[in-house]
Amino acid sequence: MHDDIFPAAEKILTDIENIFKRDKLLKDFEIVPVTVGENKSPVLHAEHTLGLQEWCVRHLYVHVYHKVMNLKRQQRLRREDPSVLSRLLLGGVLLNPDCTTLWNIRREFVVLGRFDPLTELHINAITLSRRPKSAESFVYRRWILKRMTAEPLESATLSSIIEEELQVSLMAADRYANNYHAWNHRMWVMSHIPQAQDKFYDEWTTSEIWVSKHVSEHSGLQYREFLLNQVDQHLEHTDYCLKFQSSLESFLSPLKHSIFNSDFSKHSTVSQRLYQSFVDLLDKKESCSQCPMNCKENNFMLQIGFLAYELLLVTDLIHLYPGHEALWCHRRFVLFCFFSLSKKISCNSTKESDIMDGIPLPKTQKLCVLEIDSDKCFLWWLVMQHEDALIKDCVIKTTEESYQTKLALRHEKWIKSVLICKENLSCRTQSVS
Amino acid sequence: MAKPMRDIVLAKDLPSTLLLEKHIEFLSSYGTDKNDYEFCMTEYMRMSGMYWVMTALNLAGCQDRLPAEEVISTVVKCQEESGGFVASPGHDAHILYTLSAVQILVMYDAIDQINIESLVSYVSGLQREDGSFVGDKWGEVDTRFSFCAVACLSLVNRMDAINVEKAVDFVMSCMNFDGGFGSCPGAESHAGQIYCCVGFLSITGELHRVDADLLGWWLCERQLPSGGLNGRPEKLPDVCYSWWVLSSLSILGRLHWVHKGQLVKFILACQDTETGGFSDRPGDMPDPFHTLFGLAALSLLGESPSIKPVDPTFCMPVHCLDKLKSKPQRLYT
Repeated sequence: MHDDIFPAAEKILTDIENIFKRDKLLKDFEIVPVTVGENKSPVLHAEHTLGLQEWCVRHLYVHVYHKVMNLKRQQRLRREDPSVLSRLLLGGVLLNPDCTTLWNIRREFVVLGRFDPLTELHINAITLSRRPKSAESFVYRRWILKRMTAEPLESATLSSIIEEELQVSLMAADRYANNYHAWNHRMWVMSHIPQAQDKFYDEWTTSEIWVSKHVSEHSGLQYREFLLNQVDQHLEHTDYCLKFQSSLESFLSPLKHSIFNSDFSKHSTVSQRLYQSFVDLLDKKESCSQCPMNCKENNFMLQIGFLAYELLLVTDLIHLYPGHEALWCHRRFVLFCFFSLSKKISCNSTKESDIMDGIPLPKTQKLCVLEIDSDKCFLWWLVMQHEDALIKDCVIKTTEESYQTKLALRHEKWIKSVLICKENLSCRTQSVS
Repeated sequence: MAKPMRDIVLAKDLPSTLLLEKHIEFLSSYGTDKNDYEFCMTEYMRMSGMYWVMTALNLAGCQDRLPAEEVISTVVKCQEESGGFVASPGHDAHILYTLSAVQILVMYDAIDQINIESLVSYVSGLQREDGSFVGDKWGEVDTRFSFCAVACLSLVNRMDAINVEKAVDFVMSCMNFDGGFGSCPGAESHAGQIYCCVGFLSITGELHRVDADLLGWWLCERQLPSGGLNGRPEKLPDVCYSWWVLSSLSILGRLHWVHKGQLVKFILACQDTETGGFSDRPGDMPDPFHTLFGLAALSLLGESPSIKPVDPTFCMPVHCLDKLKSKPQRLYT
């Protein structure tokens, strides 16, 4: 019916396909704003970029779409000349990567073994270069990756897959700010592809550089939160201990000039021991282990150093780049981690005599709902010293009506009314209809 | 350099009253003057497009502007043997279009015209071992699909067909420290996903598992000085988030936590005075998607007596849900 509405279509599609075949390093696809067609091919190719002049886009897509859908409706896709079909499908996903149906046809052909998964990943990456937030493109990409990694692969192959995925998601994240799908994809790669887990520390290091240059990137910071959770779970003595030690010292500095008044007998043993370690660290007492933080002896030290590093990083960024909501949101996350850790440390008050057959008695278990306030937990007291200083600083340095002041006061309110309050409301009643 | 907040400034000459007649005109003629290219670009989601148009017209009290028989038979034809619905003949079945189809049929009181048993088996067949739902046979998981699944089943009173407990556990595993939800475990909180998860919990009667104050706080922070709401921090306001954020707050019994007057002003400013319809932000092209969510938000805000009451969980006129055996749960403060 619609077969001949755009006679130039087949020639254009062939030109596009030839560029894909010729240039294995092709990385970009762009629509070039030329609205009037001349008597030559609208397909351009330079510097590994494929260009298509705008005037032909509508005609070309309508042609492709009708042809493909007619074949599909008549269940003739499998019998169609493979080379014709492959050109049509290439044009289809380039011009409309959101159309699930077109990707689904490609899936069928991958399953049949007629489309090669690596070529699929390349074509898919090119669609993302022009439409970096296309959810369907990313969904297809993961589908291919799941198939590829379902079989055991050589370590080198896996490494190159991971490299490529990190590169593609970074490209998409760079081209569209707060790109939900790009960061989700990166998270998926890091948690689902074998061997990717070995790169958590590397990712954590590079993400610091990236977020420091993209301070409005809530999605990028959220990815960092994912990394922090992962790294935190596997913290052990590494070269980073030195980095954490200096953060820990700065973090502890309020202990030097403010006095933490509290009856220590009420503190958990872990809490008391930790306090002593901090005092030793500040007094520069020789550590008896190789690690400057003596992290093997006291794993909490490492965790606190790790979180302190993040807290101070956000403090710096907030001062350097005032008025960025994303940074304050990230700070909430760091506080939440500190808060959870504080609870853990304060709860750890179970005496050995309270344990029967390795299980604490019900009475002592209950102690764990003990509320956190800065009087009873010096770690939380320390965090609050930093928050008070930051908020005061922001309010003094900027005008009352500035966005930074607003964010600082909002932060203060969030800590008091949401983070701390919700603990005390844990048995609050809600009427439910 | 301090950076100003990402937001827009509403110009003075933007509309400030509801242009309902124009919207009805816009909706009932939508698609008739579409050229081939636009049709081809969007046909893959046509069923949802129909749902947006029908629901918006229904909320405006003008469902009869489109021929009911034609609508119903178009939808009914889109059910596949598998029980799932395609967006348009020739496309592939997906839970997104299955829910849109079910919603349209419930609105027309015509759900009996399809094979409900096969629908139920299609939906329950999408549930995985861990309780999550895939969107179609290709296997992508998303909390949106969990919502679609329970919404479909609840609308045909067949919640017994799935493992609800596991489904709830999966959705809860997508909750973040800020109280919000993302598309999968660990994913960033996003107002659209939050609507799906809160809606899901309201259908399954598990709202007590949300930290309503924490989440309510995050949702309220979506409101910008222009009055509009964004869907994530540092994003621009958009009319569709008036719906996702507001409906979530409404389910959580915290609708009064946003500044109503300013939000109404923002939504009204997004109307197209010439063609009718709402756009994402003032001055952009209107479409049925934003038109539905603009009208639905105004309905929740109770600002316009000419718009019928909308159900915040199903985004359907309340009067269409009379036959539902179990009503979606709400929190009250």
